[in-house]
Amino acid sequence: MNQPENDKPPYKVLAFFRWFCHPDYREDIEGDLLEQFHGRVIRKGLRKAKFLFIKDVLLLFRPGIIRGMQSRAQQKIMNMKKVHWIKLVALNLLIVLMILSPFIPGPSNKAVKLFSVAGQLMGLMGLFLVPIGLAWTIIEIRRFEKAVDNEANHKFHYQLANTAILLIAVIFIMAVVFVPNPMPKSTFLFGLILQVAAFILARKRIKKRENTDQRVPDQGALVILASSATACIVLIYFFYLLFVFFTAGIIPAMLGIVLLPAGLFWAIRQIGKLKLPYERKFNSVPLYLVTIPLIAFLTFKFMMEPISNFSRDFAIKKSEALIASIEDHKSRTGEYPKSLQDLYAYSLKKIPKPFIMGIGDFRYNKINEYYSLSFSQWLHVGSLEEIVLYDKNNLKNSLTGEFAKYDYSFDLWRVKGAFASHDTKYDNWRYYHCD
Amino acid sequence: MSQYHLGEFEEVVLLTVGILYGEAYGIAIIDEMEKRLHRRVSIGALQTVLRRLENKGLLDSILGDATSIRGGKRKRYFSLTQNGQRVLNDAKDQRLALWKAIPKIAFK
Repeated sequence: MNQPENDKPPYKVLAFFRWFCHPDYREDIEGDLLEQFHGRVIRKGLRKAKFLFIKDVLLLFRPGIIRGMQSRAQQKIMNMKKVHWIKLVALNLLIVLMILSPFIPGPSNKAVKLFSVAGQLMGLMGLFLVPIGLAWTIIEIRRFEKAVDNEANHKFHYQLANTAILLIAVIFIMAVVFVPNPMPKSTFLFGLILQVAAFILARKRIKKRENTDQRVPDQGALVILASSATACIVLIYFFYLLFVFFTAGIIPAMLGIVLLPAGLFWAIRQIGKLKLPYERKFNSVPLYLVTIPLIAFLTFKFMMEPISNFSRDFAIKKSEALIASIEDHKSRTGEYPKSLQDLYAYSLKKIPKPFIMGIGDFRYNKINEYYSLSFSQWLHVGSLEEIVLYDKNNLKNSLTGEFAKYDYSFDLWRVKGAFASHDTKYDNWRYYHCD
Repeated sequence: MSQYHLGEFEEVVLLTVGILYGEAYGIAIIDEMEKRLHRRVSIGALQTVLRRLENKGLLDSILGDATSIRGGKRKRYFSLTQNGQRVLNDAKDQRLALWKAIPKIAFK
């Protein structure tokens, strides 16, 4: 049968299939795809046939078909049961929830700050575990069916350990170049020197195979590389612990002292058990080392600002009834209440609260003939507090002396004293960060 | 009794390969399954199972003829091995035993 000129499947999709498909299967599967495509062109038309062709290729992109991910990898990953995947996802979701808990609507609870600190520290400091987790994951996938302690496996472990060391070294080099402060810069530089020294020593532990000229690494090389990586991580960890201690406070630092060494010690023990004989089950532990720090870090980096904006706006909305009640008091009595308790007598049965878990009660402050309403929320490790302030006169009443002539509206940065305040979506509400 | 426990889709694929005896290649297997079972089968799902069954020793395959409609690519014909037949028979016996164990009153 003569085919029309344009009666062909999407070329780029076909090229993608030819790229990922295992070479042993490529010919017959491609033939099946083409045969099905031409049959569909006749039955359903060219456009539909192309759409279904793309769908079929995408559905072929799976373990068992993709080249390089055969038998051992497929078996290992399929040996991971649903419950393992569910646990992995659930734990990652729990970490995200911990980090975001101070910004979620709910009754005020001081404990959420601790949860958020713990989650954020996992992201900031746990990133060093990601290269180890990646290397370990690859080892788990490619574990051979023979006893672990054979030459090829040994060489592979050595290469993976080198790769992990190089990844850490790249991070250290970037830190040395871009970190401005001399103290952390020198810490990273020291760590980098340690790694380079370990790498050179490990190269010296390459021994000659018996009766051949081939050279292979021995156990000592792996030990040296692993020890240096551990020493670097411990060094950097203690430096950041000091940083956290002086910025976020003693509680986050104590959490770091307790949680991270325990996690590091346990992870290294697990890696040490790799010398045991071949294990059929896929060990999902390294996946936790990779995913938890990455998810925690990404949450910290990209979700903190939007969620803190949400919690701030939510609390401000909650204050509307309170502000209306305060103004009502003024219109009835001619002055603002001395405290929020005065509102009980006339209008409010209960003082409204921000109803955000990380935010305490509203604070009311009568200033001469005016008043301000405020609340504070904690943001993240490395900052103290965000103060959100309502003032109908935008701070003019609290300005005295030379600042009395200060016109707030002309100052784009809203600078008052040492702090810069920011506008919110609501009139007369602003916020500033205490550092 | 064999130790390999067949999944439902694997069993259907093995049976279809048996039905098509000598003519069981990818598209033919899909067409036969869709005709008999009235269910959609994707090439990806089928090929994964075919490879898995072949790795387990339940199927054999050989490359056959090429056609122009396949862009000059050869077909891969699958056939049941003795192990595959044994596993199918075991599966059939298990199901028949379960059917026979159902009391008549259960279907009233």
